[in-house]
Amino acid sequence: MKKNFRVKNPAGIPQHLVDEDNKSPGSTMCLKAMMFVGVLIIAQYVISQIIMRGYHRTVFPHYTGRCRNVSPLKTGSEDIAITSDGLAFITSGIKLFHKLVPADSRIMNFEGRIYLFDFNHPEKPAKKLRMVKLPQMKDFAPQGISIWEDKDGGHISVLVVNHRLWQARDTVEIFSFDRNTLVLHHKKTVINEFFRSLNDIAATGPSSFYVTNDGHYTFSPLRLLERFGMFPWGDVLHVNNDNALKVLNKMYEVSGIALSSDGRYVFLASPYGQDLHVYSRGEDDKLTIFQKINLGTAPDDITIDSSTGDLIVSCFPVWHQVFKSVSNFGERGAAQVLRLTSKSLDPDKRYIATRTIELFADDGELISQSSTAVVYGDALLIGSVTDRTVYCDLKG
Amino acid sequence: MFLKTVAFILLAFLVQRAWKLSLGFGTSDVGYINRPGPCRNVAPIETGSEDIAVTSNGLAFISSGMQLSDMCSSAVDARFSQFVGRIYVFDFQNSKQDAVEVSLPKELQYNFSPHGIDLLEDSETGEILLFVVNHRKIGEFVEILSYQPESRSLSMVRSVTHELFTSLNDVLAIDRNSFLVSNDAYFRSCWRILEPLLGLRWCNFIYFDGTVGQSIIENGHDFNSVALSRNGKQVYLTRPSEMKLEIYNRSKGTETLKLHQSINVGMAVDNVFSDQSTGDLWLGSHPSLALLTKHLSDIDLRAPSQVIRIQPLGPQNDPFNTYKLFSPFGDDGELVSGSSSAVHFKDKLLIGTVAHKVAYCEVQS
Repeated sequence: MKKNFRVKNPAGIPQHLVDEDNKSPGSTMCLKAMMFVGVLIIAQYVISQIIMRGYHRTVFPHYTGRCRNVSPLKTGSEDIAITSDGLAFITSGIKLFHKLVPADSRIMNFEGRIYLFDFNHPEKPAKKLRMVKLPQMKDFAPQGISIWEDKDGGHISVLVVNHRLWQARDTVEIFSFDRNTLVLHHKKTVINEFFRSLNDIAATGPSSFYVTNDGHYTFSPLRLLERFGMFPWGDVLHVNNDNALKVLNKMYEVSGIALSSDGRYVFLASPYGQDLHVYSRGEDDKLTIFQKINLGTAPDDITIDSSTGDLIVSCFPVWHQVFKSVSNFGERGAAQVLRLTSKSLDPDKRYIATRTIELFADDGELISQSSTAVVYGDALLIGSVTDRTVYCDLKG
Repeated sequence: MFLKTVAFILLAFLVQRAWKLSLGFGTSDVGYINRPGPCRNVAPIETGSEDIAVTSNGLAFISSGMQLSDMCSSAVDARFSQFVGRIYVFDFQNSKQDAVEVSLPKELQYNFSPHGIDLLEDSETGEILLFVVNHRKIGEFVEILSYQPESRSLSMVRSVTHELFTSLNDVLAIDRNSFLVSNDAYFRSCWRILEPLLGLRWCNFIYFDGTVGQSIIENGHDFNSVALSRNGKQVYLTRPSEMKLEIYNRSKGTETLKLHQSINVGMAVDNVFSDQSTGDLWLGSHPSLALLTKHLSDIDLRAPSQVIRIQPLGPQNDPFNTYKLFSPFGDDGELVSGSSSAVHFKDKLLIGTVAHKVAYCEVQS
């Protein structure tokens, strides 16, 4: 048997300088392939971030009818909820420290309050509502708001998400609204271990509600990891008598939530996917996905136009501008309000096929970052995260 | 080693092309509906209204029925070969009337696939001369036609063709015999798809002075629509795949053009209309070239539409030094699919499409 002799390193050269005979060709190929795949993954992440955050987007302003500012709102109007007879409750003076969103220093002067705008008297300014018996009123930093009207039209419950800074926790405050004195009487503070980073709220009863967690970590650098790593650690809860049920899990940055007038459907805004999710609501308040409506833009809040059942969706067409304009109020963010109207007259098919009407689009000149919008009759009220509030007469 | 370098360069090149093309392609397939006021279709136009020209009295001439089948028939809907090329006339001042078909001269019957259109009004005689890009079976032509209003017919004045006419798109009339015309590709056949893919710059922009044709801008790709400023000193040119409108300073007589400014519109723009009364530019645009391509391969698939208005805010000698962009009209394709042109006359809009209908809107600001 002839052995194959290969005289290795005949000249006695130091081992580490000896050429490719000692390296297997497989490992360099493998390394290159891994690097290539790594580059592709990074490229795909960068491109999807660019598209999701809207760097490529141009916004073309238009608005039908006449639009004007609503005084005295200047420090944000993040969310608006409206009664069936045209009373709009507006949360103002938001603070976003819990999400570690860098904010303009002027945000420290923001005073958390709730304003009332009456669509029946649009020429009047919005009125700052007096809140009675609210504990730690100076620490009130509201965001999402929802209204529950008793069927007989008498009692109005106002439910508000509150980002308490001193306690470093999010709570839900429940008020009772007195129509005659225009005063909000604080009834209850809802605290729950599942309340992490609350965003929006949708009332299902005088003190029961759906609420969204737009993330998990608060007041922690882990929130930055969560945001940029796109980890879906948010969720949606239903709360009834202090019992919280997780109805949707593994959500990334979900924000606006709304209930249809008949209570059968729940709508959720998904800015990351640039779509709106429609869920059917079970007897036990559990949610099953019914339809996903592609919007082509990042939605923030959803409200219902009670006269038609249409969905009014306020959006951030250039998502990255939101962060930019919160960190510097001088930078203006683009705004957009869409109306989703049904293609079908059949009420069971109403959310299956929809037409998307763009009611309002602005490049930031009139209003910066539209975070909420409500429609009443032929009028539109648009709120922003930290900027003004605009009223538009859609009749033109 | 050499093979690897070639493969790497090819890959880098393809990625760069894909990135540049994808933005214009449109990342969203939602067409937002947005109306400036009440809008409706104009009967009987159903097979396209690619370009529109308007007289100072509000008489609009619409080129319709362009048969795209000569442009790579395998990529477009077979029904395009059934389209009949026509010119319609619509009167803005009698907007309740339908658009009326204008009869063509004998030479053009069964030989008419019209694209870009422009017109000249003789201020003394009142004569209206139409300049129409015609993709004849035998080649690319610019037809110069005279409009007879009493008989609603067009008579042939002159037919112009030239070896530089490779794939004509739009025409700008200078005087009775001369015009500027754009080439949007070098190939007319399926090979034309290679041009944007490989970034080939084989298009030119041509000046025909009545006798001689010459390239006044060379080595471009995708010269689409052309219009003239109010004072005749600037020429506007759209570049759909780069989503921009270019403004050239023009030397009358020699027709030399020098690039002055580029406005990045952020959407694939098609035909440009220069509003002589306000100086505004109106653009028919495609929010998604991807959906437009699908619509052309199957006419029943609707493509979203959008109209963009560029309002000049600068001084008289440089009107677009500062400007603002607006979008007064958007559609999901149900009313009008694939909007390629928009003209404005006294607070009314007429919106034309590549292969679909026409919309008439009242603008309520």
